[in-house]
Amino acid sequence: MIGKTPGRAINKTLKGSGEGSHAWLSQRVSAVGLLLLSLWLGFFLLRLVGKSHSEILVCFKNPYQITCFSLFLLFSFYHGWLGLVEVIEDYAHCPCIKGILKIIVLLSFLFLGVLGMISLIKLFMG
Amino acid sequence: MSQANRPLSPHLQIYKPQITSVLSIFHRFTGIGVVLGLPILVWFLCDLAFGDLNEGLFATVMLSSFGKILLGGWTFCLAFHFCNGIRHLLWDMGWGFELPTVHCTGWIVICASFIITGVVWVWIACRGGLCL
Repeated sequence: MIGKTPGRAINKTLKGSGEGSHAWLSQRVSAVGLLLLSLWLGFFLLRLVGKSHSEILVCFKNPYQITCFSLFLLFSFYHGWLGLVEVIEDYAHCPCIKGILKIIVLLSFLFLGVLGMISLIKLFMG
Repeated sequence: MSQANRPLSPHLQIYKPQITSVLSIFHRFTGIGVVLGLPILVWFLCDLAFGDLNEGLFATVMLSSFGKILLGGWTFCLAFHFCNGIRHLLWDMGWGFELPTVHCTGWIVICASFIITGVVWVWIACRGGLCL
């Protein structure tokens, strides 16, 4: 049987598209990163409470803090994007709506992520 | 059988709610909640970097009671998704599949999320509340 089946079809059947496990693993790896980064973000934001505007700006001058904040934005938007795509795959049944929703999510996440990064750079340099 | 006539799998609301299924769907809800809060975080950074924080729209919106409810909800979503996420990662490593353990860790997640949310907001109140 196998001899008569084209090689690519066998590969598809036995190994799958190879994309599912990648998304699964990426979600877990980003989750582990976010365990540390969201703890850091929590403490960072809570320390800003009660500070004056100029004191808050000083907190953003620290290169290590800015690095952690950038990593948090990167990881959380990536993790959130993977999660939302999974939700869309599960609940949007029409392939057309599915595609449109995924594009909207991707574009808005890219926009927000880059906007956040640029704000961080401005806060650090400015 | 044609595409339209295929039997549907039973939907979520058919089942009696149990801590396992409720927490599972809550992981999704809170995940979406956290994602919805990310634009607020970016808005905060943007306002801090490019706008006057004291007169900006951001402060007006976030310091209103609506804004505080939003931030409170975001705190809870983050806390829950964080705690339940640890539970999921432990399952991925093969730990905690026995039913009593699943129930126990589930209740720990629920309690921890409320405690974290409470501690965060008591701490904020002790520092004089939110003011920008």
